[in-house]
Amino acid sequence: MNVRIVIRRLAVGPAAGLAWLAWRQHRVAHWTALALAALAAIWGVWQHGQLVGVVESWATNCPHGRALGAEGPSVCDSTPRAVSTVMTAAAAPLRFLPVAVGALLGAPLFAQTLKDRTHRLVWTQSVSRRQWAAAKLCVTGAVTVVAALLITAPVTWWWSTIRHGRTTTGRLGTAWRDTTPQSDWSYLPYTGPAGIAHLLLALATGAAVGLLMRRVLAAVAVSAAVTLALQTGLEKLRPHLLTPTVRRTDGDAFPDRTLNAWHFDQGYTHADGSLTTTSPCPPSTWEALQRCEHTRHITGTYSRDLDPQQFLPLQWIETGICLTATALLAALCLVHVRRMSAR
Amino acid sequence: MNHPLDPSAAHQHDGPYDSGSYGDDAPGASPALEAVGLGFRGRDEWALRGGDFAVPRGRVVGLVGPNGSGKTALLTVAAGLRPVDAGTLRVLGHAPGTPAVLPRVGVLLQDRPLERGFTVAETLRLGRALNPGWSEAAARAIIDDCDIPPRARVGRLSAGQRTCVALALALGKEPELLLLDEPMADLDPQRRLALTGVLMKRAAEHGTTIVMSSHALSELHLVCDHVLLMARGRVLLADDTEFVEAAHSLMTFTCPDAATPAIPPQMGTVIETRRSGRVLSVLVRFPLTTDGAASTAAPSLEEILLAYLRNPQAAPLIAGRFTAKAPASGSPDPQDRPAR
Repeated sequence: MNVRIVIRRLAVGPAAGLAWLAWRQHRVAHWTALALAALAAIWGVWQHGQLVGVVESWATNCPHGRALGAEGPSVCDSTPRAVSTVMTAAAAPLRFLPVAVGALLGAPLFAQTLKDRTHRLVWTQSVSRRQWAAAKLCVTGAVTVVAALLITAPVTWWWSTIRHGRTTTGRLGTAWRDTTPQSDWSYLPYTGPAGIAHLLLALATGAAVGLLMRRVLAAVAVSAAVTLALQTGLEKLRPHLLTPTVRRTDGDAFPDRTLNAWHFDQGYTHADGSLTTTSPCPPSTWEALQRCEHTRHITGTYSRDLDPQQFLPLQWIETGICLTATALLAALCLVHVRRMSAR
Repeated sequence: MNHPLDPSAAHQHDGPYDSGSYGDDAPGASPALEAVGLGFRGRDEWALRGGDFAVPRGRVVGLVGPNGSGKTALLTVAAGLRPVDAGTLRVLGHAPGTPAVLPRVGVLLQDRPLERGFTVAETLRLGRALNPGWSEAAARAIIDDCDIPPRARVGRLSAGQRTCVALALALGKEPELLLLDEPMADLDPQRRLALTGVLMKRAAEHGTTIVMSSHALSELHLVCDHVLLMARGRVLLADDTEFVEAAHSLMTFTCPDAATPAIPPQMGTVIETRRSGRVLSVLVRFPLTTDGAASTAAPSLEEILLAYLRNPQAAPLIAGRFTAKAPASGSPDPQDRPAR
C-alpha cells in the first residue's frame, strides 16, 4: 500500500461513505423530520388557500368594512378563522420549532453515538474524527435545511400575501387591512432565510451541547434551554439592530401609522428634542391641555417605527447572526472532537 | 539444562520474523509499537509508569497481566482512542490515531463497539466505506467462518458472533498492525481454533504484527512469539518468547532440615522461590551456576509468566534494555519452538 495513494483516496473516498453512515445512523430521525415537515408544508399550502378565500368572501360579505355594531352581518365583526389560525395558532409551534430541532435532531447527533460508545467503531477506521464530525453535521444540517424550507416556504407565503394584501387598494385591500392584525413583524424569524438560519443554529447548539455532555437526556434538556435562551436573546436584540424612523408632528394627534411598519412606540416631543411616551398632562379640556403642554414644553407628537422596506435588511442581519453562531458552534465541535478521549 | 546466555545475541532478531522486512516504511522500519517513558493512569493510580519497550514488526505478541494492569489502556492508547498521561507511544513510527497510521491499524476493542441497529452486511459496508484499503474477501471470510447470516441485525447476535463481526472489520482493513483485546474471550472452542488459524495465517502470509491481550496463559505459547507482561504499573517482560524461555531456569534444591538453604548470591536473578516440603524450587533468570541444585529444568512459558505475575517486584526483562548481568560468552540455545 502506497501511503500517497491512501491519502489521495482518503480525500475523496470517505466523503460519500461518511455521508451514508451519517444518514444511516440517524435515518429514523431524519425521515421523521422530513415527513413532519412535508405534512406541515401541505397543511401550510392548504391553509394559504383558506386564508385568501376567507378574506375574499369577507370582502364581498362586508362591503362596509369592519362592522362595529349592527351595521352589517355579524361575520364582519370578528376575525376570520383562517386568519387567526395563520397568525395566532401557528405562531406557538413556530416559536418552539427551533427548540424541538435542537433537542430532537441536534442533541442526539453526537450524544447518542457517544452514549452507545459506538464512536470508537468509527474512530478506529481510516477516517479522521474531524471528517466524521463534519459529515454528521453536514448530513443532518442538509436534512434540517430541507425540512426548514418545507416549513418556512408556506409560512413565508402567508406572510407576504398578508403584507401584500394590506397594501392593495379597493375593497379587497380594505378587507385585508380589516381582517389581519396590525403588523409587529413577529413572523420575521419564521420566514425567509431567517426561518432556515434559526433552525440551523438550533441544530448546531444541540449538536455542540451533545458533544460536550456525552449524555442524551441531559443534552436534550440543556440544548432546549440554551436554544430557548438564544431565541429570546435574539428577540430582545432585534429592535436594536436597525435605526428606527422617528416621525414628528407639531400638533396633538399622533402621526399616521405607516402600513406594515414595525411600530415601536409613540409619544410626545419636548422643545429640547427629547421624547416621552407618557403624557405629563392629565386628560382635561382642550384649553387646559394646551396650557399644560405649553408649560411642560411639549411641542408635538412622534412615532417610532421600522419602515416596511427595513424588513428584509433586518431579516438578513438576523440570518447573518444566526449563521455566524452556527459556524462557530460547528467549529467548536470540530476542534473539540479531536481532543476527546474515548476511553 | 543450563544455558549460558549472551543477551546481545538474542536481540539481533534473526530468522523468519525479521523486523525490517514488512510494512511500507523505509528499510530498518520503526517498530510496530515503541514506548518511551510511557505512563497512563487507571482509576486511582498509575496503571503504567515509565514503560519502555519496543515491539518489532511481524511479531505475534501476547499482552499479559492481571486485571486492571493496563492492558486495555495500552491497546486503546495505541488505537489512538485515549491520550497518554506521560511519555510517548509510537505506532508504526507515528503518533497513534493520526491519519498516517489509522488506515494501517486494525482494532478489536474489549466491548466490541458495533452499531446495534445495523445488519451484518451494513456493518461491512461501513468498513468498505471508511477504509481505502478494504478487503471484502478478508472480512467475508471471517463472517462465513462464524456462520453469521449477513442480514442479521448486529444487536441480535451472540457475544461470540459480535466478536466475529468486529474482527471482520479489523481484518478487512488489511492492517499492518492488529490490536486485539481478548479476542478469544467469548468464542466457543471451535471458533477459537478457526479464528486463531485465521490470525496465524494472516501473520505468516502478510507479516502482520498482532498484539493481543489474553488471560489464557497455557495457550499463549501456541500463538505468540513475543510476550509483553505488565503488572503493578510496570512492564516486566518484553521480549521474544523463545528468548524468555531460554533465559530462565527452574532449579530445585533439596533441604535437609526445615531451614531454607541460602541461595548462592552469584546464582543469577532470582524471580521466585517456592518451597514445598523439603524441596525448594527457584526460578532463575540468566543462571550463572548450578552449584548445589538437585536438578535444573527448562520452565514452560506459562510457568515463567505465572512466576512474574506472582512476583511483580521482580526485575524486568525488556528487549534492548538490560539491567541483569550476564556472561559475555556463548549464545542462547534455540528452545523447542512450538509447531505453528
